Amino acid sequence: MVIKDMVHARLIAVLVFLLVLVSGWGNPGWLGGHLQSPAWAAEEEMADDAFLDELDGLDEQESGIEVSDPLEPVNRFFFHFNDKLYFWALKPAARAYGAVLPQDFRICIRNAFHNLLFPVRFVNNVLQGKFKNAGIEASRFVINTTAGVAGFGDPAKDVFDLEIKEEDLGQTFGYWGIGNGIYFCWPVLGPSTMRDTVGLFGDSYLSPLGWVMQSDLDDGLALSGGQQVNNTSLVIGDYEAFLQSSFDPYISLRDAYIQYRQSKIKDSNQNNKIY
Amino acid sequence: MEKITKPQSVPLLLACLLTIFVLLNDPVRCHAVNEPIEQLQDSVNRIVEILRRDIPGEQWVIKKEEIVSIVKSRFAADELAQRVLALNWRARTDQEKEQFISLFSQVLETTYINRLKSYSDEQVSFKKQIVNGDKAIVYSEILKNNQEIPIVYRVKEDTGQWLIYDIIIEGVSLVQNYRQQFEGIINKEGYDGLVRRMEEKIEENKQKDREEKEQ
Repeated sequence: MVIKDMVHARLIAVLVFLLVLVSGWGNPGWLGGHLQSPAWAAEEEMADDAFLDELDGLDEQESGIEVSDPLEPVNRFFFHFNDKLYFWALKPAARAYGAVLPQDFRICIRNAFHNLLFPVRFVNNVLQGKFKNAGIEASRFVINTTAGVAGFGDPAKDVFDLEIKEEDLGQTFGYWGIGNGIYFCWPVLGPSTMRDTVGLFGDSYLSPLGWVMQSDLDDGLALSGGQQVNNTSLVIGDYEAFLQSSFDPYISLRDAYIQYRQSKIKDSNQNNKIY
Repeated sequence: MEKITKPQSVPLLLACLLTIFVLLNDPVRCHAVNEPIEQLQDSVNRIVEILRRDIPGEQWVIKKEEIVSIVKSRFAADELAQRVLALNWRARTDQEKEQFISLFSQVLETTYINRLKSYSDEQVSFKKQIVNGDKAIVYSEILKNNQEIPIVYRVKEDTGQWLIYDIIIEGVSLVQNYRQQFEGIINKEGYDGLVRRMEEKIEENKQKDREEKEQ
């Protein structure tokens, strides 16, 4: 047990070191940002920037979020792997499951899993100094676990108007100014970045699912597999629609992930200003 | 007498003209009549009404045509296209630009309109707007499977009408997403490659549409 903990501690240390190295603490560093342009290109680039500014105007600051992707060939391989995993395993399973359980019930199960992840949201709200939101999450957990019958219902929102304050460690790192680092497309887990991967790893220590996985890997995998199938059954068709709308699904997903995470971090910054 | 009134009436006339000019151009006055949020809500309401309409024997094609015309009058197709191509826009000839606008509109139309077919009473609510000159951002939400999905519209004013040039769903900008994909394709296959891919996509979508109709 001690050795296992030491291995974990060392792994975290290495990952955090890599994260800091790669992300350059929020600056578009040597891996995280654009490559330095030669001097002759500067003039052209300035004209280009002016053109883009003129185009974007109001929304200037939101445009052009990009991520460094040196592992693209490997990532593309796993993207296709995940694609097959969805069509060959996840979707058929979710379909069969959805045919058996009514939708309302599946929404309840999704709620219950979400309720279990309360420690992740609570701690990360605190880590970002959002004490009011942390309080809201704590109230939500208490209300939904009791009145909501072990989190299957969401009376906290339906009755008390307490909205979910979604936060995770990746967002906390982003809030602290740590950049994305490089992009990953993990098998099974899907799109992520260096920062969010370290975040996910850290969050697993706060997640009851993570605790189960540590004590019994099989049970943990079965549980998170169940969660995947349940949640997928509620969004069947979304991925297919995404594929139909894109010209290069790999790039489209990568960009969507980066934009989505960016907006989450920004959103939570704005929430903080309001409170 | 005439000699005196004439010079007097000139500044008076000027003042009148100036007042009229200012009144006509006063942005507050124009926008108060027709807020971007109201215009978008109106378009969405009209589309929802068509989707809900239940006339026995009415085919989807008829509904679709009506929806397409509403959507088209609410989108700034040229602005959207220009933003999607971004830096590559300037390298295009006028003819290419026109072709691109038309192709990209068709891509969006064939991709997205048919999805409305599965509309099942999802609630759309408009939250707020931020106006800045001739541009504005309108915030809305759609409730699907008990989850709110935030949808943000970027709109631009064109002769009293606020036209959409970007849609941001859950923080993901449609324009930026296509821009990234198209940049990659142009870098690898050239602009002609992109045109070919768009034509293929439109054909593919239409094919899928036909197959669905036969079923």
